[in-house]
Amino acid sequence: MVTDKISETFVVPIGPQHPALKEPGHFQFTVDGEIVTKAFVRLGYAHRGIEKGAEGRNYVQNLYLMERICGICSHIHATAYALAVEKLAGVEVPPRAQAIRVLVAELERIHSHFLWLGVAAHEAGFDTLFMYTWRDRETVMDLLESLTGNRVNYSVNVLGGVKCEVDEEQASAIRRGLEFLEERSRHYLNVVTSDAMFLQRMRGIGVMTRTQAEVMGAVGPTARASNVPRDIRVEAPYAAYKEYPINMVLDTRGDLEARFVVRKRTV
Amino acid sequence: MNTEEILAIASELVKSWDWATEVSRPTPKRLDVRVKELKELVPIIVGLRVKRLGYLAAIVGLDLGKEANELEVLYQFCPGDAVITLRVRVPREGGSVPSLCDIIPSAESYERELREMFGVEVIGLHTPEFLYLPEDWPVEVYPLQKDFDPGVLSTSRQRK
Repeated sequence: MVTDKISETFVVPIGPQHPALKEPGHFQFTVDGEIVTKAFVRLGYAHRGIEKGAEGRNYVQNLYLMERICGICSHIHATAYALAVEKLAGVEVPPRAQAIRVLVAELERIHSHFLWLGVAAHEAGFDTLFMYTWRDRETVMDLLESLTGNRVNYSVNVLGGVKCEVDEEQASAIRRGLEFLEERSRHYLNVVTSDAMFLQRMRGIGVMTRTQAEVMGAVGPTARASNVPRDIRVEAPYAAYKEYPINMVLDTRGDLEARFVVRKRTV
Repeated sequence: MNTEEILAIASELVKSWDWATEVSRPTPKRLDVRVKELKELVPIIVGLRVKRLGYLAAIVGLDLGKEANELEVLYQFCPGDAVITLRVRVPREGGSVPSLCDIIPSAESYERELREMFGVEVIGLHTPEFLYLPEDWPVEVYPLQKDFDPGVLSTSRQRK
């Protein structure tokens, strides 16, 4: 009997609107059994044309636009923009303002990592972890609110400095909050590296080797989970990161578990 | 490797193409390479990859305006805290650049964006579909060109 070898490809379309997606996007995954062999993406369903919008506005107006590039990481876009404009204008920013920028940037990063952990746990079917991390995230959101007046779009930057000041009371509130979050992070690190059900879905899954990460140009915690020592705060310290150096956290494994561990240990 | 060493290696590498490039150091941490021969772009980028000089951080389009009638395409590579920029100029209409996807897979999204926003054809790109623009976007209208007129959008909607 002759059997024809037919290469069968099965394409799974996801989106633009899909219950698993938080924002619209369209993906086509070509699968061979359980293995994804090809992927195609279309974005832009919520494209707001910020680049074009910035062309017609002045430097001060654009600061507000940059703050709204992303709701989760608003501060960093505005900081990058402010640093660029200050460089163009030859303005020197007071060291305390730079320190406050870093303080808010780090609080933002902590909130973002907690948010990420919650979403990732949710996608892995571990909703209890999702609920707990998002509850704890409220601590850092409250700190940001007490510092800047806003939970999101903190609007800390102005060209040449910052809008808010940290007094003694706020400083001790931040210290208390961070102690609590540090303790919680330790607990979550323990959970994600020991929960049997979770590990089945994480360990050895989605491995990206160091070479792959380098070729693909990965950055941030994803790169560091594949042992690529790439952290802009270390490599090119901006604002006041020179005065407040950070430890780079690396992991050699490159799988999903490593991405959890790197983020949690960074917090 | 520190910044100075990285940029020394990059300058040395680009020297092999001194007939096709114009090199400058606008700030201590930046190396700016204007590539005058488009066909030399890919070999230079292969050279950067082989020497492991940074990752492709972005491909940026820049419309130089109607008078210049040219677009500039900037390829930004970031090793450590240095930035290596390769610039090529293409005509505003009917310009094209070679695709980098076979060397650097992550170039795909930047190239698709460049194509639909600036109208620069990317030769060898396997996914010519829009990445960001809607499917009913009018043909040959490129929103990030400086003389883009948003008015064309409402008329195309009304026509439908």
